[in-house]
Amino acid sequence: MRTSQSSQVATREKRNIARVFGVALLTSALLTGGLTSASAVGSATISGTYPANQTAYWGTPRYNTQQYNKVRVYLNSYSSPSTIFFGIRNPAGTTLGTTSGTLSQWKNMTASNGSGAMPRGTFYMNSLINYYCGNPLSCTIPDQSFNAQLQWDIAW
Amino acid sequence: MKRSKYALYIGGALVGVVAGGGLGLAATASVGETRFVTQDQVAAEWASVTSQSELVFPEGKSFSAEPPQFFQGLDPKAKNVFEPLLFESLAAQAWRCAWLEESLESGPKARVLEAQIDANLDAYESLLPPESAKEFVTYETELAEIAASEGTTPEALEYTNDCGGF
Repeated sequence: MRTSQSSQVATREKRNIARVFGVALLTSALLTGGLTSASAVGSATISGTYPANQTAYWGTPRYNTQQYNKVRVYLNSYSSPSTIFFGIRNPAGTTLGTTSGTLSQWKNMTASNGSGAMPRGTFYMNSLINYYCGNPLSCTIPDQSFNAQLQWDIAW
Repeated sequence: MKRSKYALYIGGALVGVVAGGGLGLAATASVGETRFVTQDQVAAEWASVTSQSELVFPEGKSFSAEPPQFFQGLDPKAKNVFEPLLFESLAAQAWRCAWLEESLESGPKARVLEAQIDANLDAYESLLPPESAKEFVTYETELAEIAASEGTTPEALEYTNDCGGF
């Protein structure tokens, strides 16, 4: 999977500044929505090409820093005629959330219980593109591709 | 969890990482060249990645011979393919988890072992793809703050979050 990073602001540097300026900056942070507002939203452009009708498990680790934040996907483009699904899975093999992709829409990942609250920790993306073929005996199924934005660690 | 990059050069444990270039996590295959690992190749791929790894584990620990739990419980009817990078990422994480576990098990450590643990945990960042490395720094920073507020250690928090599958 290709990724290009638009991601995390320099949170570490921000925190170092915060430590230097201490109470003054802390007060400012609280006024603007609390300390969690200083947390960066993770963001990446993701794309991949792989065989149709197969679930591809991608290898770039991502990190949801806050407990029960949202993860969402914005589908820029994908092969058609097809449907596309995304999922995220933690290193222990637990599916944390899934969603179907819809062009030009943000779609939240949801757990099997319907919750969109994703736990803190490392996760990996997976994707599935179903290819519909009018006559399965005669059609050649090409590799499928997608391009999407992934965001995670989004506070409620 | 503030550790100096200088710690990379402490102890012999990292010689393999530095000399061998680690697991090569930055080498993400580009679209069009991607080789996917199929479900029936998972065990062989894991064995290949771990046997070629030069990462040094704490004494008495090593890579599991079985692929991580990540690969279990997948829909057997589904056709699953895996980006090779996934195996490298999980191997690096298994290694990190071994060192996290070492730091949690140890209690008061001899100073040399503390340095070894720190050096190895620090080295993890260098094994990640560039974009993941940046994200991991943010994650680590947040964990340190959360751990402080919850009266635990960043290592314990991270171990709980991320090491259940190894």
